Amino acid sequence: MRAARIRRLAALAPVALAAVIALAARAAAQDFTSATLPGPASSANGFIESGLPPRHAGPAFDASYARWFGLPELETRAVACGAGWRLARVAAGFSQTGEPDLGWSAAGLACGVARTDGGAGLRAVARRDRSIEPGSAAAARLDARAGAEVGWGAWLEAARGLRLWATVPQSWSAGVAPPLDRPLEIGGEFERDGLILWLTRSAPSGGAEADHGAGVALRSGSLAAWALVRDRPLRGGVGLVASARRLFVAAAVESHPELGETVRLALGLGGAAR
Amino acid sequence: MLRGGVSLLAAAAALAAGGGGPAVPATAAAACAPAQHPLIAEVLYDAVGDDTGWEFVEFHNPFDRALPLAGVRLEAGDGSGPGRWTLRWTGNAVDSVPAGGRFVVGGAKVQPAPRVVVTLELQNGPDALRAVWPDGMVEVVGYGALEFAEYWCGAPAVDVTPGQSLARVPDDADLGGNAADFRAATPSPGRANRAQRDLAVLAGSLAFTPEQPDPGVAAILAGRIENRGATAVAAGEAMLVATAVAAAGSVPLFARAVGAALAPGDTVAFEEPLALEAGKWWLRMALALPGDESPANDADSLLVRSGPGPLELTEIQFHPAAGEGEWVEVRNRSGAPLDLAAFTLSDRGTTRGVPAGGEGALEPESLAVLAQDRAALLRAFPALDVRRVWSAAPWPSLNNSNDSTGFADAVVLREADGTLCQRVNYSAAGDPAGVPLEWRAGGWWPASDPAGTPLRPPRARVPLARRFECAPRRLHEGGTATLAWDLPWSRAHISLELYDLAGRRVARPLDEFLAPARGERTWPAGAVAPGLYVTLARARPDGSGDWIVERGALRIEGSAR
Repeated sequence: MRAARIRRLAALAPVALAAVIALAARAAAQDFTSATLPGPASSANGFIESGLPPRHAGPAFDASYARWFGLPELETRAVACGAGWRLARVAAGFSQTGEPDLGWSAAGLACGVARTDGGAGLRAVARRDRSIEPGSAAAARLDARAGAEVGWGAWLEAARGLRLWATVPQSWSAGVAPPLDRPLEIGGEFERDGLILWLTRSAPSGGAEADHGAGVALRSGSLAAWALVRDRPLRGGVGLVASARRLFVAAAVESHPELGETVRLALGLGGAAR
Repeated sequence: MLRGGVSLLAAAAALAAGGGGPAVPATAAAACAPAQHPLIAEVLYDAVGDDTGWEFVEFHNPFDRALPLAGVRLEAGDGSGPGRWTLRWTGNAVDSVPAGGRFVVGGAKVQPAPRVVVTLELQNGPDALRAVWPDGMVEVVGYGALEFAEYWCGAPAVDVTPGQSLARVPDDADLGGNAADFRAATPSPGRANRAQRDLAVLAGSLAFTPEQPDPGVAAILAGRIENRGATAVAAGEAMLVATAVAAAGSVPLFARAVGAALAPGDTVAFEEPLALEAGKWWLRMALALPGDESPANDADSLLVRSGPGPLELTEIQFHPAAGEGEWVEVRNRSGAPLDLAAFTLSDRGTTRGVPAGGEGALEPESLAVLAQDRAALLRAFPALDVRRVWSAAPWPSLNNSNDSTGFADAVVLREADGTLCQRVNYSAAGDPAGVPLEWRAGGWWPASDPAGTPLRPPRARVPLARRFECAPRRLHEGGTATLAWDLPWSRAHISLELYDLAGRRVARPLDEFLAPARGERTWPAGAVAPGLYVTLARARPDGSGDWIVERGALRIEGSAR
C-alpha cells in the first residue's frame, strides 16, 4: 500500500516540477508568461513563449493569469494545449493582455523536435490590438493594427542533470511592434535529487547592459517551492506549487523595488516531465 | 621754482602742429600747483541737465598777500585730440585774488554770483582746463581717461558725475598730480572746498532691503556717512534722523546718535531696521551736526514702496517659440483705472520700456499685455482685445537661461517717478521651451496652457480622481503625453520614469522638478521605442515628507524595428 502510494507520488513529481518551472517566469515573458521558464519547456504555454520544446511527449493543458506590477489594467490571461508524438512536439494557445485601450490579443503556435537529451523548436505569435479607433489610419492598415513575431529556441543536456539552452523569441517581427523587446537569452540549469539551480543571462538589443537571473527550486512530495533573484534592478520572487494526480495549481509573486508585485497564478493538467 | 608734481609742457609743440588754439610761450612750464600763483581750486564742468550758466572755475589764493589775475588766460581743452585749447576768459588788470580768498569765474546761474560772469562751455570729460600765466607758468587740470599728456598734470583727476564739481581738497592740496589733488565734491563756489566741520550723507548710498517689503515687516535702511571736514567728529556728536514722507504726511522713523568717531576723510556705514505701512514713501535721511558748514550735503532721500503696487505681473513669456515675441501680462489690482503709459517695464538692466499703442485706462481687476512686438502677438493670438495689448519700447530683452544667481532675469514694473511697483526674478529652470511662466498657487510656474493665456486667467484645473494622471494612455511613437498631478502639498518635487514589462527602467521623461499642488507637464515620447510600459510618477513635498508613488500603464504604438 505504502509502496504504491510512493509510486503515485513519484509519478506526480514531473508535474510538480513542471509547475515550479512554469511559475518561475522568464524575465522577458509576455503573452504566455506563466508557461515557460529557464530551460526546456514543461508546459504548452512555455513552449510557445520560448520555442524550447518539452522533453517528453504527451497531452497537456494549462491556463495562466498574471497581474503585472499590481496594475489592474495590465493583466494577462492565457490558455494553451500541447501534444507530442515520438520526437515531434506542438503547442497552440491564445492570450489576452491589458484593458481594451491598451492591450492586445495574441495567438501562438510552436513546433519542434525533442529527445530526452536535447531539442529545438520554432515559435510564432500573432497579435492584434484590442481597440482600434474606427476610421483611423491604423484601422485601414493591417500592419498598423496587427503584428507578428517568429523566433526559435534550442536546448541540450550536456551532462547528467546539466542542461544548457539558448532562445531568441523575436528573430523576425513585422507590423505593430511587440509590447516588449525580447533579446537573446542563454541559460543553464543543474538538477539533482529534487534540487534545481539555474542561471540565465539575456542581452538586450542596442548594446544595453545584460540582465541576469538565478534561481533555486526544491520539491518534496506533492509540494514544491522556489525562489529567484534578478538584477537591473535587484529583485526577487517566491512561489509554491501543490499537485494532485495530473492536476497542479500554483501561485507566485515577484517583488520589484519600484513597481511593486507581479502575481501569477496557474492551473494545469498534464505536462511534460523532464 | 615749482611747488611739486612738475612735468614739462609739450603743449607748445602740439599747438604748433595742430594750430587753432591760443599760443603758449615756448618757455612755458607746467605745474600741478604753481608757486606764487592763485590755484585752480574748483571746477564745475557738468551740471545736471543743461550746463549753460551753471559752470564755474574757482581760483584760490593760499598765500597771505593778494595775487593779481591780470593777463591770465583760462583755456578749455578738448581731450579728443592734441592741441585743442580754446580761450574762455582773460584776466583784467583789476582782477585779483585777496590773501586766503577766492575768485569765481562762471555762468549767470552760479550762486553766489561769480566775480566775473562768463559762459565757459567746458567739455564734459575726458577733457581739461588750464590757466596760462603771463610769466609762462601753466597750471593744467585734466579729468577723465585722457589720451594726450598735455591735458593733465601728474595723472588725470576723476571724471565726476553730473551735478558734482571737481574740487581741490584741501584747497591748497599739492600732492603731485590732478588725481591726488582733486576729487568729486558738492559744488561750493566762493567757499572752502573742505569745511572745518562737515558731515555728509554720501550721495546715492541709501539703500532699502528688501526693495519692496510687505507692510509692517521690518526692512533695512542702510547708507554711508563721510566726514568731509578738516576736523574730527566725536562719537555721539552728530544725530541721524530718518523720516518717511507720503502724500498724507510724514512719519518720524528714528533718530539716533552716530556712534562712531570720524577722523577727516573717514566714512562709516549705518543700518537701521524700520517697518512701513503700505504705500509709496520718500525716506529722508538727515544728519545734524552742530557747526556743520555745508548743510547741502547733510541729507539724502529714497523713494520706496511698501506692499504691492497698483499693477502686478501675472504671466511672463520670456522664450517665445511661435514668433509672437516676448510679452508680459499685467493686472490692475489698485481698485481704480490705471494709465499704463504711466508705468515702465525693465529687466535687470537699465533699459526702461514705456507702454504705448493700447487704448484707454485699464479697469480694476483687468488684464493687459505689454508686448515686444504688438503686431506679431496679435497675429499669434488674433482673438485678443487689441485695446489691451500695448507695446513697450525700448523692450528690455528677457534672458532665457539661468546664470550663477539661479535666475534668468528680472521683470520690473515701475511707476513713472521710478517707484518700484513689482520685481519678479524668474528662473528658466524646469520651464519647457516656449512655455510662459504664470502666477498661480502662490508661485511662478510653467503655464497651464503651453501656449500661454494672454488676457485670460490661468486655465482652471479639474480635480483629478488620482494623484497622478498620465494621458493619453496610448500614443503613437514620437508623440507627446501629459502628466497631470493633484497633490496634498502646496509645493512638491515630481518625477516620471518609464519601465518595460521586464521591470527595466528605460527612460526618465521628467527629471525631478519643483511644482505647485496642481499642474501638468507634457513630455515627448520620441526617444522611447514602441511597446508597453509602466509609468512611475513620484512626488515628495518641498522640504521633508513621505513620497507619493503611483504607477500606470502606457502604450506607445509603432512598427516593429
